[in-house]
Parts: sequence; structure tokens; C-alpha cells
Amino acid sequence: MKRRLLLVGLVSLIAVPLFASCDPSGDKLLKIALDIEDEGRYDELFDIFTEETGIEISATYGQDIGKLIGTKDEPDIIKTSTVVVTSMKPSLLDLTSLIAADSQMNTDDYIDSLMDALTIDGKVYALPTSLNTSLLYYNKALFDQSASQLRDALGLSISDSVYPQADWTYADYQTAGVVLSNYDGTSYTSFGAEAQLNWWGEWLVYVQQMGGTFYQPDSNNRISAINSPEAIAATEFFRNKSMGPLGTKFAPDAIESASSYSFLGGNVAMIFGGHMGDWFSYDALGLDWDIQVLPKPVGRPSARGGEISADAFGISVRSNQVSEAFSFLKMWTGPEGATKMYEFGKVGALKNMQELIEQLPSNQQKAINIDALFTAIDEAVTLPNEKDFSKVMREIVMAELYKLMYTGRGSETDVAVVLNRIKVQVDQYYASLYGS
Amino acid sequence: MRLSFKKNFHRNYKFFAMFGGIAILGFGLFYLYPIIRTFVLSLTDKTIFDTDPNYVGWANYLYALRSDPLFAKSIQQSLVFALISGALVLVTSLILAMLLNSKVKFIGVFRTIYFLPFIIPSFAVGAVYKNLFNPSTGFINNLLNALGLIDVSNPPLWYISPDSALMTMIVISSFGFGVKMLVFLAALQGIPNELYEVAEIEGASKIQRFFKITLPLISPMLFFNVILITIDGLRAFSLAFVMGNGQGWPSNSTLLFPIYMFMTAFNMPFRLGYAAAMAYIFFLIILVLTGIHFLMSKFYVQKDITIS
Repeated sequence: MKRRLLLVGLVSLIAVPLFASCDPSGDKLLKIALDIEDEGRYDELFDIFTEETGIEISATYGQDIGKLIGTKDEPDIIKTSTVVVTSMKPSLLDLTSLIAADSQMNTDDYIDSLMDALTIDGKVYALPTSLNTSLLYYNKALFDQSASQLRDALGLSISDSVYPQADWTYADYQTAGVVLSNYDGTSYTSFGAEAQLNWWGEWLVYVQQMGGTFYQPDSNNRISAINSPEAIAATEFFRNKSMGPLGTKFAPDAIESASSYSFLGGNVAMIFGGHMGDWFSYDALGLDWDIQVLPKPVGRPSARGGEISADAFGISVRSNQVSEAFSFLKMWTGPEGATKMYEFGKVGALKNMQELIEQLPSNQQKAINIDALFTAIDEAVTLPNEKDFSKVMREIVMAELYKLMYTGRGSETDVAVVLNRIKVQVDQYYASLYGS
Repeated sequence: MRLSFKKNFHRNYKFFAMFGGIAILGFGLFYLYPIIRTFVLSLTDKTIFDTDPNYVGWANYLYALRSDPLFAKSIQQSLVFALISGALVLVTSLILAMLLNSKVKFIGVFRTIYFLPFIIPSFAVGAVYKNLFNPSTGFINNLLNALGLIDVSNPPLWYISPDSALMTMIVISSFGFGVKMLVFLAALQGIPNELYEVAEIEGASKIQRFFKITLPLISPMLFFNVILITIDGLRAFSLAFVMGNGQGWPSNSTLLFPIYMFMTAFNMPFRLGYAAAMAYIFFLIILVLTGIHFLMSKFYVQKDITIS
């Protein structure tokens, strides 16, 4: 008797978890994996979808999508982005035929550059949701504190705004930055701008705005153009911002960056580039902030070069509920999803997003310069569609550029020498992968 | 009555199967299968998102050995890290174990206090040390400056400079003596006091007593610790991850092999097959080093210790 009880107990231990994972109702269930900070944010949207279609949405949060795919436990709806879609392509279903067969679906509704980034060899693998583009972020309180000095330095009248303007050049940016950098005789207590030393999002924008490119245009993204005069000029500006003498320096160098100088910390007045994913943090910390389009190089007022990317969602190649998943994807990436995401500081990738925002009650609209955002989107370009791009940037480019950004052992000062060395390393990397 | 193993096995084979089976099942599922699976992966071009990877033979191994400068750099840095930090840990843990083996009041309290830091996760330890070693605001440079040991206009840059970041990490890791100290302490406590008393009567100095009694008698544990420290050093991950922002920062100078393998597998372009090949090469390196340790142990490990 005891043995039988033991046996039943052991079998139950195995069986209960197995049956618990089954859906007893028999209703259709779509799975989606979202970021940890999204927990609970979109439940209302999921309920609406369930009401309309009878399909339940089961969301998990904070799980690594790579691991889920690796263990063949991925959800039906997979999160990707314009940056990683090339790498994730084998896991994503080609949506082209589904889009073509759906009369309500029009990919022209999305921002063209983002759709281009999500289309590989003519096939669409995902639809964009919230976007990120390079902007100039500024702390209004720090600008107000130095208003009179800024007016003097920028030659503004008393009625002019001291905040960054859409027609700012690098010279204006630097002039304001220097005014906003406070030096007490031994060290800086605040800076005019942050310096992005671990991420290419600032440096590459300078290169592109100056007219340079990372890859040689005719090289199929295999040969670097990083030692061009434009790239050298851009890198000089990037370096001088942190390493220039008193009176021109307005950003922390690598040593100062290790201390607590940051826009989030409230002791840095501007970020060139930045990330829209941080809006929520700025608000949560009670910063008085706003945005402006990026300053441009002197003499190049219409220079493009800010970065644009977007989160995107596709359908797993292993999903057995493709049409249901596509129905959800349409809502998730459409106006309903975009409006809901805007509540949490995310801006949808739809062309009419500005209209959607303006239709919201005024208390739901963010009190920021929204025109600047949409101008910046028009001026921005997507990253090169090359799967090793971020690896090359991280392990070669930023690793070498770092040596220009501090004084002391192991540091370097000659921009051209460093850029030439980077070019050699990048070209060797691609040659080792694909042959010369 | 005492039964032979064979008879005992025949009588109680069910228990052998039951208890042994659990261990064998666990070994098979959690060790053997991953080992085999990793080897199979290493012969493919699989990325995390690939559902149908291609067989590439030894291409991943050849690429790592011939064409990947960061692979060579990460191996070299891991070996330097393991060698120097290992030596430091070995010496500090032995010295502290000897101090904690002395007969002073409240020795239990001291032992607890010295071991307590090692229950703090390495990630937290790394973050604290980053603050301590901050060149402009950190405690270390402020202390050295107050003692007049550094030029304030040109202070040591510690983890900020690619030239000194690895050495800074080695200095920090040399405080990671926790478990090794306990192993030495246990070995020291097993040495009968009479041996020291006799040696003292015979006129042996403290240094002679250390080299003639202590060291030979703890040599099996010394060997154990050397193996442990070598493998720990080569597999060091969390401290390097925190110090190097997860990417060997600055300028790949803290890029230890486990970090590079992690980056290869889990950062774009997610080359899982290549990372698996790197893991196998590294496994072979650890195997060779462990083999060398075993060979060298013949010269310093006292195997026939009989204390009556």
C-alpha cells in the first residue's frame, strides 16, 4: 500500500506541472515576450484584442528572446528591431504574402526608412512599433540658470529664447556648452554636454553630418571609409569637445565620465544623440527637459546623419497560428498600439504619428517640442544593414577611439593615426570573414 | 559479518541503481549532454536565431586560431590574469589562514569577519571597487595623495587606462581568497602541535618550521588550491563583466576569454557555433594546464603523510 502511494505521489509530481501548462479552455492563445518594464502596460490592449477576436494573449516579461528561440520555446510574436533583424531573420516568418493578401494592411503607413531596414532581399520580416531617433536633449533648468551668460555668448536679445534652436550649428552648440560648463579652478562641477564613449551613437552622427560614411559606398559594407577627411574632421570635433583646452572643452573626458557627470544626474546640460527610451527615466527623475533637432556642421545646414531605428515585431517561423498572430501584429503596430505605447514615452513608427498625438487630450500629450521630433525623423538615416556592424563598432572602433579621450598612460592624440589603424583593423576583419 | 562488494552489490543492487541512477541521470542531462551538444554546435555556423545551421567542419576552430586577434588577446589576458592573481590569492590566503590559525582571543569572530565579504556577490564587489579606484574621486587615490605617494596632476588611472585596467582587476581579485583561506585553515588545523613543539626544542627557527613542517603537511591542500585557483582565474567572469562594462572596456584591455565568448554568443551577430568552438579550445588549454599542475605536483606534494 505504501509503495502504491509512493508511486502515485511520484507520478503526480511529474504529471501536475505537465497538465498545468495546458490550456483547459481550448481557446486560442497567442504568446508574446516583452521587456520587463512593459509588464502590465498593455493588458488593456490585449483585452480589446481578445474581445474583438476571441484570441487570448499571453505575455511574458523580461525573458531573453534568444534563449527562448534556442530552446524552441519562443512565442508566436517575436520582438526584433531594425538593428538586429538581419541576425534574427532565420527565426522570423516572411510576412510579404500576408501583407499583400490583407486589404487593410499598407506598409506605406510606416516610416519608409524603417520599413526599408526591415525588408531584406525584398521580403518583409517585421513591422515597426516604437522608434528611436537622434535628438538634442537639454536640461531647461540648467539653461535658465545661465540665461544671461548664454545671451551674451550667443548674441541673443532679451526676448530671444536661450534654449537650443533648430538652426543651431556646431559652433552654437559648443558656445552654449562652454558657458554651461562650470570650472571651479581645480575641477568641473557641471558640463555642457555628455560624451558617449561606449556607444557610437554620437560619434557616427558627427561623421555622417560632416558628409562621411562608415563603409565605402561601393564596397557592399566590407571596406571602411573611416579615414576620410570628413571622418577625421568629425572625430576632431568629438575629441575637442572633451579634450580641448579650457574655453573650448564642454564635455567630460573618459576620467571625468567615470565620475558622476550625466544628464540623468542633472549636472550635464545636453545630450547629442541620446535615446528616446530614456524619456520615461527623465520624467521619473523629475528633470525639466526638452528636445531639439541636432545642431549641424557650420556650412551644412541641411546635413542628414542622425540615427533612426525602431523596435519591431514579427512572427516566429515555428508559430502554428500565423493568421491570428498577423491579426495581432496589425493592431500592435497600428494606431491603437502606437497610441497606447505613447502613454509610456514611446513614439510609434507610423507616418501619421504626429496627427495621432495631436488628437490625444492635451493632458496626455507630452509637453515637449514634438515638431523637433518629427523634423529629426525626416533628417535621420538608418544604420548600415550589416550584421557585424555593431560588433565592429564595439570591439574595434569605440575601443580605439577611447584612447583619444583621456590623458595619461596608453592615451593617444593623433586622430588621423587612430582612424587609419581602425580602418586597417576593420578591413582585416571583413577580409578574414569574406576574403579580400 | 562483513560482506564482499560483489555479494553486497547482488543483495542491494536496487539501492545501487536507485541512488547511483539519480547521479548518473543528473550527470548525463546536465554535463554529458551539454558537452556533446557544444561540440556538435562548434562544427556548425549556428547563430542563436538559426533554425537550420550549416555544418562547417573545423572552420570555427581554424578561424579562432588563425584569424581572430581578439580571441588570442582574450586568451593571453586570461592567462596573465590567472597566473598573477592566482599567485597573489595563494599567498594571501595562506598568510591569512596562518594568522587565523593562531591562538588569540575571539579567533572565531575574526574568522567570521574575514570570511564575511566572500558571501557578497562579485557584481556588487566589482561596483564597490570601481568607486574605490576612481582616479579623481576614489578613496585609493585620495589616500595615496594624502600620503604623498602620487603626483596629483598625474595620478594612477587604474581601470580607466587600457594600460593599467587588467592589473587593477588583478589587484582587486587578489582579495578573493575566501574559500581558499578556509581550505588552508582546515589543513593547518590538522597539523599536530607536538611537531612544532619538538621542532622548537630541536632549535628550528620559525622559517624552518614553516618550510619543514607546515608546507609539506599542507601540500595536498596547496595542490588542491592551486588547481582551484587556476581554474577560477581562467573562468573569471563576473568581476571582469562589471569592471569592463560587459565588453572588455576600456579598449578590450579587460577582455578575458569568458567575456569574449559570452559576447560572441550573445551579442550581435550571435555566433553560437563559433563561441562553442572557442569554448572547446579553451577547455583544452585548461586541461593542459591542469595536466602540468598534476605533473608538477610530484615535486611538491607530500603524498605519504603519516603522523602517529
